[in-house]
Amino acid sequence: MKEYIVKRFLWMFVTLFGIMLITFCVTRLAPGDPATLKLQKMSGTMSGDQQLSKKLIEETRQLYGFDRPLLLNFRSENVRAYTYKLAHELIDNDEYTRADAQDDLIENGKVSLPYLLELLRDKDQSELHSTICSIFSKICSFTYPADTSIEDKITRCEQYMSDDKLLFDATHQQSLIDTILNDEPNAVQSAKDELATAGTAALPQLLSTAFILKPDQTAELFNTAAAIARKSWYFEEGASDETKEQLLHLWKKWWARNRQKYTFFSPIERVTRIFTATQFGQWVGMVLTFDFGESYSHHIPVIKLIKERLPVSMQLSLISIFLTYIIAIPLGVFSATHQFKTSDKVITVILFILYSLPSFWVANMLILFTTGGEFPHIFPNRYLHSPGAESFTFFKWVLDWLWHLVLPVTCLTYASFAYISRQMRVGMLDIIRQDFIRTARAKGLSERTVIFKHALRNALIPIVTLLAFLLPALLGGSVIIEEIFTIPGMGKLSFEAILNRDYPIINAIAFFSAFLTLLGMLLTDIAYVFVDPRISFDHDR
Amino acid sequence: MNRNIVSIVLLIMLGIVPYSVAQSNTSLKQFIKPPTIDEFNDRVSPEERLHPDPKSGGELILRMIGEPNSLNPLTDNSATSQEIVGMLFDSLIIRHSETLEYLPWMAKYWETRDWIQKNDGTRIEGVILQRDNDSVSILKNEGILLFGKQDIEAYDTKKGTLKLKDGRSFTGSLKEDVYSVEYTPILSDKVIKIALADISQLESDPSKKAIVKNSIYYFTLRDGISWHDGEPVTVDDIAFSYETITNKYVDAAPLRNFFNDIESFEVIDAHTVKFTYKKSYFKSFSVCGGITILPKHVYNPDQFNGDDETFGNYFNTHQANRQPLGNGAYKFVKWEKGREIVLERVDSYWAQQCGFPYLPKGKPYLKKIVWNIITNSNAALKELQNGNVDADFNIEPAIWFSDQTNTNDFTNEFARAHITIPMYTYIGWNMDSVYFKDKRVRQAMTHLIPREEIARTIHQGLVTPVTGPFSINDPAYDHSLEPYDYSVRKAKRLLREAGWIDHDGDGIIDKDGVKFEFEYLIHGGREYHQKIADIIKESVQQAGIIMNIRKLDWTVLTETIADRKFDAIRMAWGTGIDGDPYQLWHSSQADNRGSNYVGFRNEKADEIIETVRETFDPLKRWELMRQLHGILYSEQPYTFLFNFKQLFFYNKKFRDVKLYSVRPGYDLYDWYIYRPDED
Repeated sequence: MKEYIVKRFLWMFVTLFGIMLITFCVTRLAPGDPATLKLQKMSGTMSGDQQLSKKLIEETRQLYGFDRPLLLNFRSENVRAYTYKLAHELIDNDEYTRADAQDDLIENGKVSLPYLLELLRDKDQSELHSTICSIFSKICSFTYPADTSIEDKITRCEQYMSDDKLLFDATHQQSLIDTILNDEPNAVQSAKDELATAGTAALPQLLSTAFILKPDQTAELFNTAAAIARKSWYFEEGASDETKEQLLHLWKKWWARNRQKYTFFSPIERVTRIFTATQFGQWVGMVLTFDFGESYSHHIPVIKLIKERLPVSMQLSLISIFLTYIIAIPLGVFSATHQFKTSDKVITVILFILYSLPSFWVANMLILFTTGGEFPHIFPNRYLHSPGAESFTFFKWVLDWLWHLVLPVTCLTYASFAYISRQMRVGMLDIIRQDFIRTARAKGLSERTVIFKHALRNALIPIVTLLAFLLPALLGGSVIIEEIFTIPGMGKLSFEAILNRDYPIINAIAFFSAFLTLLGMLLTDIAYVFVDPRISFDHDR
Repeated sequence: MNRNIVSIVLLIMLGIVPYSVAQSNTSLKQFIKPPTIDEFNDRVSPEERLHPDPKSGGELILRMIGEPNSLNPLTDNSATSQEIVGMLFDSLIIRHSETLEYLPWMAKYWETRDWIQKNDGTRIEGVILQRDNDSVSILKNEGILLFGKQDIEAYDTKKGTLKLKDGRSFTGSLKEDVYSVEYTPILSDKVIKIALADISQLESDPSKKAIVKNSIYYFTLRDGISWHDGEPVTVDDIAFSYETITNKYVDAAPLRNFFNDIESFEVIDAHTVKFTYKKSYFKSFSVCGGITILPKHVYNPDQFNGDDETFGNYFNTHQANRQPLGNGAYKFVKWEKGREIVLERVDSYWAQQCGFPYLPKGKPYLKKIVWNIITNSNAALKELQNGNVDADFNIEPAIWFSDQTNTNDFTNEFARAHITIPMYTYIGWNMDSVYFKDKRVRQAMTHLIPREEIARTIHQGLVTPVTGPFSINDPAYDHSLEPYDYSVRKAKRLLREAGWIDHDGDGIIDKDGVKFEFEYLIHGGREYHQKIADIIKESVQQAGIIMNIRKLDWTVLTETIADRKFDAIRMAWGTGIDGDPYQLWHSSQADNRGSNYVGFRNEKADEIIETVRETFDPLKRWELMRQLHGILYSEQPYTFLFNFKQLFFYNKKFRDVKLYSVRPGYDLYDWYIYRPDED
């Protein structure tokens, strides 16, 4: 038994991973993405007088993490690729994208220069040349004399690069950094100045050195970097350890995010990034740390949202499932024991009529006839409590709550009667024809004992199978009933999430449902053992 | 005064006109439909109409169709959220809903300037006085100021003298309006003349000279305004708001879109802020004047040391999303998830102390406003009848026409009101497709659509046919254009002229071997789309055209449009009053998945659209828009269908219910409860 359960648990992880992969792909392959939906506003009409800049759609996509590849990342992400990408955006159709690309290139600074020069040398890219020349001059703060031709400008850029070759040399930069670290009295200032001239080209070397060393040694390095990167994260004399720690954290976070703009990844990093720097990789990472991210539309952690909504749906589903079973099982037993009698037929007909009534219709009819207006006002028609219920006495609060539950629970319950009582009836009919029941009757046991003690337990097996789906049902809630009775439960949450393509919510709910279904199946298997002693999972028996 | 949608940025999203320069209202008014007052409430006696007696107090319970996801004024652009947020936050300027005039609000006054950039890179700001063939005269470092009359001690338009209550005085030329006085300085020694040759090219549009009119705005913040927690509202709050909106990690891209053209924002002194625009655009003023001001002290951004991303994330998920702190007439009381949102009027509303002639004493009158969340329409109607809800602005046609809402009992208690909102439906013809590239074919299609019949049978008369892309109440709408009539004969003639003839006698017209069989896309969301499609299908068959209907899910539909993979499509645009036609009709938007997806390219129209964007005088702008209307009418890139009516019920005890032609059509600041017995 134990061995079986352990095995099942292990299989569960594999299955879960598969399910995650599938739900992930399905959600992402569905048309529409939250970034554009958010900008269009989700409705049947679109706003007709707002010209949306492409740049903003890109920004929102980045904010939600959609700029990464879905499953495998084979992109070359490094300073060269970044420079090339921006350079090509310089001739984009969207004026804001153009302006942004220019600003970004200037901000990226000297580290981009070698690649800009590559572009300048490339005759095929001549449409970019004039803009790149002007960016080049802005980065290096020199000016061209008036009426310089493009060729001369390019020569000027070449000239600049060959003059300042040392700036881009990592070994030279390292020697400057060592000078600062060794605190050589006369050379420190000039080393700092030289690094500052190197600008962003010196950042990779500066920061990678600084991160290895202890913070108290590296204040100078960080401060040089801060001046280059135009950040206000200076390590000041006599700052508390806590502040230093915080600053270091800021630096590390910033560098992790922006590394690809300034440097290249090592081969090992690139291989791991194939799997990790993807949307799926990010999602798996989040699940492993039990952080399911934030909803795009609510801007609340998904876990918190589920925690808010789950109890609401649970009260409804627990009560209605309990009621369903408590009513349907005796009905099924009764039908089985009174097979072919009028009472059986009447029950069957009624149950099937109920089964065929769609719940949204019944719910609307109940609202129409029992919640006031020109009809009696018997039940409330929305939410689970009256306004101001918090100040009620406990007894009154419970009454008020039950009063609100009547309509939704009715709608959730009646349709399942037919299904479950039919299952029960069939199971029961199967059992009562068996020999051991005849034996029990022959022993002279009362009919009640025969049915409820001997037959019922065996007849419950099909019902136990149904229990496997109980757990996910608790989580799922009912979209229709929650919508009609304005109950803020899981059903509404997932429905709206699907409409808004709110992936974190959809993925989290899919994950939990999958997990609970698997768990439910395991529990069902275990329950079989208890219901029917003949079933066992141990091979040796 | 339309105060409830105070967030003027929202107004702009809806496309409502801004203009800084006060105009003479008599000429404007002839184009603007005045609001109706208590039009649908027969309980208001003629006497009461003459002598209304607004009383303060009472509560209004509204039905809300869906719960907002958050109450963050920047990140949540849903209509439900914006309506509530608009009541909590005031802005620098306010728009008078009857004259469409912008007036001082949190800003005591403002100054408008132009700028010119010279070849040497220096920039001169001031007022451009005149432009000759070879030079431009500019009044350096001066601007046109607009003061509200409440802040003026005395003024004389003839002498050109103006004295403010705070003691400062001005001499210049004055233009008086109903509520404001506009001041233009005349100090000749400051006028300088610049040769056109010395002016550099505009960076955003190198074909133009860098002479940018109405592009610098200074706003001076009024004293004595505080947040609902007692902290004063300062220019730091404005600066913080600007930084937050433009932070790309803040999930407010739709809003940020409006701030794209701002080149710089500066805090000038303890009361003054300055917005500089890169280019001249008629909506600029209302964007910066309508900026939502956020309480900096609530967010304490300094703790992030300039780390934009962490701050963006902190802001997006901040607690204030669920408990906003505002500065308007109403303060946030509570939000019970899934049930209700409650706002309460503040005890001493700052605007009441300022003596605005456009804010009557005691307004807004309602003490408390509650939004009850009821998703189901039937339940909402019951709650209205049970007295648990006072007004429901989302009435579906089925309920409007149902027996229960047409009984005497019901109509005695509730007003059945409707207002045409700026939204129109249309059928877009893909002008790049083989069928619809000829304008005669498109005109023929319009002749083939029985709009009267559709309006009567499908929409049950709750719509108004339109002939162009504006609301019927829009001042730019050209009422002289007659709708195309339903005429198969005319359609056939036009098709024949265009070369679509049934050559092979199979009953289907063809041209160059292509049969006229096109696909008509509809959104599967509503049943009536299918019904309309069926009517049209039958109608075009009479002219020998086969139409295939395809129903698509909303997201698939928008993707298909963006990819231009369609022949014809039925859609709707929510526009505003006096919006900007650029997005829909400029040829630059026809490519790159822009919104001009039918591929309308017309040089004359482009020219008009570009001029409209730089025309600050509304009368001139509307004249241009009417010309555009004429072009679209004759080109028929769309068959324009209908303006829709918004239907709503409200309890007849509410008075001064004004209906405006801008969305949402009502203003809760007007409303009060009729109580004749009290003093």
